[in-house]
Amino acid sequence: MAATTKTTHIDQRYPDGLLQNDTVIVKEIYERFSAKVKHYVMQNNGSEDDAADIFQEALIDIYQQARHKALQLTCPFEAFLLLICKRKWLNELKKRGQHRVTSEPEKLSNTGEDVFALADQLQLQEDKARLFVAMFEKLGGRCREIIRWCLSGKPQEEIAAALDVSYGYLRKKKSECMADLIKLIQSQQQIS
Amino acid sequence: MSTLDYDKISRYVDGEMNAEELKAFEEELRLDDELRKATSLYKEVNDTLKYK
Repeated sequence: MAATTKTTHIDQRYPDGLLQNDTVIVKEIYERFSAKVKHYVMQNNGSEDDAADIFQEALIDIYQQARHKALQLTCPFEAFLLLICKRKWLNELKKRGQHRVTSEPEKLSNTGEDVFALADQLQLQEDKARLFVAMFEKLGGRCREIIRWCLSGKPQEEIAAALDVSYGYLRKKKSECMADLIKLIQSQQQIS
Repeated sequence: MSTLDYDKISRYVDGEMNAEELKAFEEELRLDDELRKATSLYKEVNDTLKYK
């Protein structure tokens, strides 16, 4: 991995807090930032519930990114979070067939490039995860079952016993099913 | 597309290889772009689906 000269922003404590399920920090995040998201959503054809949903989803995305991709925050958390929420809300409006948005999402004060780069990265990650799951759903029932079991984290011997197959057979089926899945994903990635 | 050995990829990602196999596989990875791409996608899919 290439060495990075970017320094971590002091707001890194927010994603870290989410990751550790630190109730004090999570509370602080809600107190400091949820009102702004609510304001934005309600100014743009949304309800209070919509705002709460968007805020919640954004925090889950950030948590996932911190958990699995070692998110390194190089910009203020607020700008990052607001941009994610705004993009999510715009997507939601698009889905609902409403395009009228009064304030542009990208016009944020003190927004550096990093905010966009990080938000893009998060979006990319979400899109990928969605593709993986969609392709997984296309697999046959037996393959889905085997992969699901194998990803459960249980010892493979135990899984083989639960499925009433030998350990060797389980390994063989798992690699075949994963091969099918990888090929499905690759075929989609080539199209897009 | 050439046929990749998914059995090997799977054993590599799941940490089922012995030291000797591991060394040989890592050498293969170094030389084969397609194998490297498939292996990293395999890992990514594995990790992503685990938490869905």
